[in-house]
Amino acid sequence: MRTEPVPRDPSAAAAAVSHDRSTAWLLDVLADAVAGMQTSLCWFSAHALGDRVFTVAANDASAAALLTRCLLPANLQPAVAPHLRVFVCAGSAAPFVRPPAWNLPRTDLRHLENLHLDPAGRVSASYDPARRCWMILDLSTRRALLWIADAGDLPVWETVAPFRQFLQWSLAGTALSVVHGGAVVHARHAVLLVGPSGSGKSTTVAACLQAGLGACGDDLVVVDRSARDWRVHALHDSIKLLPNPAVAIPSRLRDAPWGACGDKRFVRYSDAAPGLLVRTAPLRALLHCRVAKNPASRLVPVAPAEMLKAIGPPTVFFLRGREAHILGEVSALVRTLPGLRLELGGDPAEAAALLKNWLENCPYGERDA
Amino acid sequence: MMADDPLLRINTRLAAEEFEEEIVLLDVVRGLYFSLGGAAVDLWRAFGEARAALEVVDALCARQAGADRAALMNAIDGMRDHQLLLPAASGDPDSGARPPIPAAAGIFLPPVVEAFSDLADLIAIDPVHEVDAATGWPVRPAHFPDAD
Repeated sequence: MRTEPVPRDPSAAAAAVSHDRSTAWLLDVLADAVAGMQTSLCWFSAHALGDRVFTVAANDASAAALLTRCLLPANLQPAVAPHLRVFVCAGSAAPFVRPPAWNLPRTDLRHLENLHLDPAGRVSASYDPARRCWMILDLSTRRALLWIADAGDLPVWETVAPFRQFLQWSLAGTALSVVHGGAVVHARHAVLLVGPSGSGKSTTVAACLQAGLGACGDDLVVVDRSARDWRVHALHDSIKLLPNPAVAIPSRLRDAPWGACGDKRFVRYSDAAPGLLVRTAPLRALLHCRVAKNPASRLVPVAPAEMLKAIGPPTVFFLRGREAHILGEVSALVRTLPGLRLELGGDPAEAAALLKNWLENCPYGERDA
Repeated sequence: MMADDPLLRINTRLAAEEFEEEIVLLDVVRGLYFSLGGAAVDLWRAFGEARAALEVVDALCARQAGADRAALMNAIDGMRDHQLLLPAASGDPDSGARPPIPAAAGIFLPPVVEAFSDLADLIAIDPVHEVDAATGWPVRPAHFPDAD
């Protein structure tokens, strides 16, 4: 006779049942919204996520244009299913209904953050009460929904780095992961620049662009361990620059159209010059940026654990949800690639020259001919 | 087991990555991360099973020349304060069913328990949503009061 296990804590069992009901409700929300917008879809585009392709379909072309302007275009092969299908549903007027408010019973600590993560990893969802915006991902059908009451409420920063949570959640269980960092490329090698906000990442990326190096991103990139060597892939066609008298905006970016993103400017690499944004490159080292007092910039080897502390927490706390996958991938990264602390002196151009020279004489790995 | 020496166990809610000489822990709910070094690495591994503090300290002191009993007890207290160690649940196996305490490093290194809270403010204000409307993460809204 089969016997069911007796739960140790009946209240925990009841919470699990309630949690499962919330998961089912979110799946219904996703399914209903997608079904309801089928007759009014007016946008379809395909975009790159590493070596994968995801699609965006929307019922509001202006919202979709904003949300895809900084994504990298890709070709969708007819015989290959997309990695993810993102549906953007905007508007509250008929035939659409206003997205429901967060009403999930608190069955998990993450609900304090308006995050719902089902234990099986199938459904991940977040809710923004200020904008009445749901983001729901169903990994089993590889569908995601961004449902916002008013597309005019989309914040600029969401359009400069769109769908980052969806994309990160969708990569759970794969060899790819989104990490918080920038990457510069030269002589067919890339290095990943990491560190908290204010550590000099974007400034260094900008200085490297001015020095003739390429970039793979300045804030979020995709790292990929599916090949023999780690690779870094660009994720967004945008760079955010802080107007700073000490660091001139690179002339290669200065004349490109720009938009305001808080106190920063954002520029699309593709608007500035072809080839500025390198789509993918073999990753040779991890550099922990730190503003130092020494006059000249220098590179100092660091232990993997220090590098993990530099990359892991900012990435995990930025992207939220499915943290075990993120931390595991970052851990694999720091255990495999050499880690160096980039102690930044006072002159970003000098730091760029240091990196250029290091990449030209890269001591790690073969050149990717 | 004495009443004032309860069974303790590592907090399994934390994400952990173990290196040879250091363990990095993340508490994603509270926005904290931690670094364990020296004999604190041995403590973390020992409390992978529910055990009493004295049992662990006795075992480590018996195996490592020069082990500092007071330093180990202080480290355990610190790990409890940071919720890295929690009272074991009633369903954890009793001492008869537990595997032996894992081997410790040959040379005693003072335990180091470091807590980092530089990103905790962002968690406290809900970093997914409660951020500056124009800039986004990690800039907090201007009206938001300082955490301290």
